[in-house]
Amino acid sequence: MGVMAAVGGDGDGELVTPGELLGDSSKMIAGRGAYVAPNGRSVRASLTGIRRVTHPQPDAADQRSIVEVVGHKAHGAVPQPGSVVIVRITKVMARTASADIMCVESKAVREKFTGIIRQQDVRATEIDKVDMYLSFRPGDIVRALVLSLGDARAYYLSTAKNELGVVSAQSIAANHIVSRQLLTVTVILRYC
Amino acid sequence: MVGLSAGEKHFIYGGIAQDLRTDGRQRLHYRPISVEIGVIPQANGSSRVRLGATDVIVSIKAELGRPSSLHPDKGKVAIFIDCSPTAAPMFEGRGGEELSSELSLALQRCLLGGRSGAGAGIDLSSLVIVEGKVCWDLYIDGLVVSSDGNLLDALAAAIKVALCNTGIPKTTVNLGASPNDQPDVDVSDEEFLQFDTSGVPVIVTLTKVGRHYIVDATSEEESQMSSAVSISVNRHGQICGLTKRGGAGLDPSVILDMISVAKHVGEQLMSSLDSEIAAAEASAEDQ
Amino acid sequence: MEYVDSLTGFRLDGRRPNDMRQIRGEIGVVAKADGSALFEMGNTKVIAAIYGPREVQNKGQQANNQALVRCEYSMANFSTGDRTRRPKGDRRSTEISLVIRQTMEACILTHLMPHSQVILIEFLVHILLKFFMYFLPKICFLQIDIFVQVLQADGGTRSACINAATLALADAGIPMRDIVTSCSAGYLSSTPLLDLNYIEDSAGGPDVTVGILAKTDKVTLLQMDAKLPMDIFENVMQLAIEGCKAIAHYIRGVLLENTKQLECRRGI
Repeated sequence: MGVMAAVGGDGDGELVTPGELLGDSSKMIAGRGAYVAPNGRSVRASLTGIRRVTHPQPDAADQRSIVEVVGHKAHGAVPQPGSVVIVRITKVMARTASADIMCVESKAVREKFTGIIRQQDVRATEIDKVDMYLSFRPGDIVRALVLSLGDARAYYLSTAKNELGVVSAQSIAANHIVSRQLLTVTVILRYC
Repeated sequence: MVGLSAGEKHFIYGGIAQDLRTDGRQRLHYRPISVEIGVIPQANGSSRVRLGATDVIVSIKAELGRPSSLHPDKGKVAIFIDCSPTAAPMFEGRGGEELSSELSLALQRCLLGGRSGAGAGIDLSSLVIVEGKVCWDLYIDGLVVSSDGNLLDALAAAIKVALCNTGIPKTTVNLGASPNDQPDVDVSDEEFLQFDTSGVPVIVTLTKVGRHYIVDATSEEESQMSSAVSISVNRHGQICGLTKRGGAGLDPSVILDMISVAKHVGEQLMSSLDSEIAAAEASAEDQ
Repeated sequence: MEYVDSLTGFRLDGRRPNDMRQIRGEIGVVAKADGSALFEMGNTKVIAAIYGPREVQNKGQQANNQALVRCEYSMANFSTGDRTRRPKGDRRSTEISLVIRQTMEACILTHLMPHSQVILIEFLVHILLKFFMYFLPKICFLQIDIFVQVLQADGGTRSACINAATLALADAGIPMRDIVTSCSAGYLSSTPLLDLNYIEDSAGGPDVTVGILAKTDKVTLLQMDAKLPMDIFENVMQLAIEGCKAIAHYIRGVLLENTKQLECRRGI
């Protein structure tokens, strides 16, 4: 059977299939792609993928390590702070613009994530003079950076970098302002 | 069905207008076609054709039957298409029946000619064993396993390939003493006769999206069509059948233009099918 | 009819009594599905496609607090030796759909689907206490559709369908308790036989279909027709379980190979 050689002592990096024993629940916490068997003792895999073990901080209350199974397409792309995302503006308000996240890096998301671009995150300079209504309009496709996980509803996004901003937009005269390489780095800066 | 946003629709329209579609093809280009033969060993002939993500299987079975009294000199051919729910959840239960019968009828129209059997792509008189008494009934069963648009073209291509692969058992007939007796037919297990498939047409569907028409539309493109014309063309460049779908009207001159385009595209499709069949036969022999 | 040669001990198709037919599994055969697989056991060939998890389409079918699993089994017109045009939803296919659904439901972790999430909605209209605003949790119910399509039937379609569905579910990334595999065994000419083909199946002898959870070693499916003495039944069932284990071993190999390939592609 083609099982990769185990990396590290606890089988980190090993390929597993559903039902495979990952460890004992007294030493492990079941993370994503793992579950605790009905007997309450063994932790087993529920997906096909690579076994990952995260060791706890030395001062953490729970000294068990977290075991998860990753690397399968079931885990759709999830925006993380620092990742570049492609979003579509849904609503523009005086101080914020909300947007739907469509892609994380180059991968399309499977679930719906919403993001917010705040006035101070639109550009790097003269942040107090930004007019949101001149910067975005609903339907614009925007390349943005995830600043933080934000609040319960939305991620905080930023376009305050040269390579970020509106990628594709429709002008008031209904002309489409785009390149056919829609999602490449080509940026048309409509705000200035 | 396919849910598209305004931007995606715009992208499809814009791409077609610029002769560069979303998957990089030109308007009159087919997706890569792949052909397998003999996938159903129990059948007399079978094939599996993949056109991009569209995947169909066709099996042909020959059974002894009686010719109809109206046409004693012709065999019978029946085409049945089934849409498997594996292709789309909407085909679950009876959900696929409407599309299945639409496809079956369109294929019958394009391959079998009129009710009298004249002008059929398959030579029906070659199916007769004893005139008025015994003939081969040819059952063509198609199954749509995966659907990404342009099912009709894929099915017609698969039928053509399957017919090339079909062997009809050789028969020996012992005529009964009196002319009214049902003759005894011996079916050979070893010797098979090949079909003459040179007259079997292919179908080219031209889908009109915006102001232009395209061949081999994906399901995203099909969701944006105003109308579609399916034209079946044979090797001699003759039109064997024609079906128009979709509500929008077409200018007669556009239809004539479409037919001449279909004729040209059909030739290319047929030659690429021929080379695929040859490759599939070669690989089947290797095994 | 002699199903096992008394001299050589071989079966009609040249197998030994406890030999399985050649099995083959392939992942990702239907491009548009969320997960799909093809599974062959000798001449039996089935395709399984998974759609979901997605929101429940028919609200009436919504189950209590867990994902809804549905299954439809269909046979192609050309799948059997004699060409028959069978209507959809006949008794036999309804029964097999049910068997597959129940078997797969037992292994899917329906209560912790990754996407079932609790959404807070504002529940405004309440006749008695109209001055208050209520926040009630709304659970987003999910369903998983399993479609199995038989391309060729040569005995053991039930088992092949379950094996294909397992592969497809794993491909779709649906959390499962374990891998379920299934295999049949019979008893003909006083010999327990593994993995019956069509001729052996239609001989009228007992046919035991077993499904097991491979890692946790539990039987989840057991069906038998005809009668059999207790001690022989034990042997036949044991033989079928051995077959299931062999299939589980193969399926695991297919899954690992597929994951490895995905990793390779991601690495480039």
